[in-house]
Amino acid sequence: MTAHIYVDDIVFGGMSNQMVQHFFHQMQSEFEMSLVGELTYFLGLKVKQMEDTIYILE
Amino acid sequence: MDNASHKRSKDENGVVVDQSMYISMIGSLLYLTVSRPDITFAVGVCARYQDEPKMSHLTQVKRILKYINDTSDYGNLYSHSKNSKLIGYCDADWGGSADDKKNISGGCFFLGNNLVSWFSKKQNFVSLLTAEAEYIADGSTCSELVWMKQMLEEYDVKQGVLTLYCDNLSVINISKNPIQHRRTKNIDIHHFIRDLVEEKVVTLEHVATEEQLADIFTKALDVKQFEKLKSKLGIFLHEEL
Repeated sequence: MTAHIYVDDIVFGGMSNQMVQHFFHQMQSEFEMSLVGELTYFLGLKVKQMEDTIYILE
Repeated sequence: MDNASHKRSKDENGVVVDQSMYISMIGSLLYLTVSRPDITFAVGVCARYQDEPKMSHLTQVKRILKYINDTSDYGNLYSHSKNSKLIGYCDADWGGSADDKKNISGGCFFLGNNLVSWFSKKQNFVSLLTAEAEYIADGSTCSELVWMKQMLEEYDVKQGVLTLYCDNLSVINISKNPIQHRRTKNIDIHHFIRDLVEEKVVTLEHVATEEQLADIFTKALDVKQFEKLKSKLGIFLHEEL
């Protein structure tokens, strides 16, 4: 499980769904946060996730 | 695209242009090189003239802007693979800078099939041999590789012997041979790489010049080769997928 935090932009992911859910709930209870869903935009980079590939566009 | 930006010179008699505008244009372009490896070299060349920008330099910067405008739909593709071997490519251009005859080092790093890092930089000193220029480039690429290896180990991704590809056979020989040659006497501090080879941290392998992916970071290429290397680096048009 990996989380990247840059000022107010956070992206996280992991192999275990349980861990991801746990992290999300912990963050939500600690701070006022909402889950935006699958990563599509991060630090000005457009991210497109496909079956086996990830495409990154400025 | 960047053929003409190669062998730029100071252009001392050229028309002076607004320096602060030039600097801010370069600043924005440098920011963009974080996600656009294809413009790294061209922006690096233009960035050297921030001191006294002339009309000819500004024209080149505008050319880069036009190129970006036409290729804004290009992005980097990262694919899933079991292979997580870290490899590096490195190259140097002999006398790449027209003003001071210093060389340009360039390199790129792949984790499996995916491009993860790249650089294009003018070397700090004038070298006497092409091999020396390459050797310096290899040295800086090696330190980057070793750093990335340590970084990956933090993420629990173990690496074996790291492979560094370069297209100069004499460099490979210098790295393996602990004998001081008459002509390599002046290469002293760069023998860092020789230690790494000896300790089996890094191994240097030969790659044909056409397959040298780091070429795109050291010199201006013709359109065909440029496009070829660009797609090998994993830069694709969105519709191509």
